[in-house]
Amino acid sequence: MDRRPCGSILSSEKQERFEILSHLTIVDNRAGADEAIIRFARSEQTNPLANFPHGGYRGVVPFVNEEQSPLRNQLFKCSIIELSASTVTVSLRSRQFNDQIFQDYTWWNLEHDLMDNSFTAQYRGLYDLASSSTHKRRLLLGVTAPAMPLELSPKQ
Amino acid sequence: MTAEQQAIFQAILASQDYFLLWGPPGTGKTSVMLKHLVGHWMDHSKDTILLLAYTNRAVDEICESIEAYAPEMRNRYIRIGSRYSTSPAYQGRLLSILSQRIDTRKELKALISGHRIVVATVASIIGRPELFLLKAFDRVVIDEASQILEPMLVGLLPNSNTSC
Repeated sequence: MDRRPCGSILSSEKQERFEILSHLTIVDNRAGADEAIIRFARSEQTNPLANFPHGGYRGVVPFVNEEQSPLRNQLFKCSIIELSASTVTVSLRSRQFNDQIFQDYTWWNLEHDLMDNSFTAQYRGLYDLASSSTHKRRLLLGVTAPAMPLELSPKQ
Repeated sequence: MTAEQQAIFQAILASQDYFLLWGPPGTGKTSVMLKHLVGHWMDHSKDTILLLAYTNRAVDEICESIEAYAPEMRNRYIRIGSRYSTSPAYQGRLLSILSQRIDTRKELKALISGHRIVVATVASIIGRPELFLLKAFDRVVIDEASQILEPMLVGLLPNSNTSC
């Protein structure tokens, strides 16, 4: 049984799958600007082969040590807007009025984001469904079949 | 279009509620089907159209496809999203760029209602629910729909008459 702390297992698995850009340092912090942007420098420990294409949704979290789970820290949702051999630039989803956290930590990890929307947005989506007409609800839930044009209907 | 694509195209046009189109990569879902569907709706109806995808890269492909239909399509859509997530080729169609010289709400409303096509990622649209107060959509097409969580989809789809 692997007795390493949870954060350590997760981190090494992500490294093996090229799913983490670890040990990044901040070289330009404009998190408080209208267009919130942070530029990171890669370090020697950053995997140069990590699979992070331009665009798409990412999360960036402070890196404390191998033992700590990313869930113990604040996670910032962002998109990669520029990638080079030495730097990674991200656009944060939300402007940060208090950017103290970016000064408190030296190392940062950039990971793939599996949740592209907040739970609030998802609850809002469910509310919109619940507020829609009975016909729409039945259609979208698959209770009522979509109307099929006559020429495409299965032969009787 | 091939004969099979023609048949699917006709079936989509005839569908009244929604149509699910599945196909492996490279079969022409976006570059052929979406292009001709949008072109057809623009030429033969007055419908307003919402075109969505999961990633910004796929939204770039949607822009490329509809612009390939006819040169004038370039000026007939608005894209919603961030400048940094949009390919430079399509940044000129961003609402944030198009609205730079607009000073009044009336002008902004006219800009939005003057364009029948809106293109965006699902995340961008979800973050701007006020758009649905300003504009109603007759048709919504969602590319890469299998990548999008159900609560997002079921929240968007009641806002349109026909979905694909």
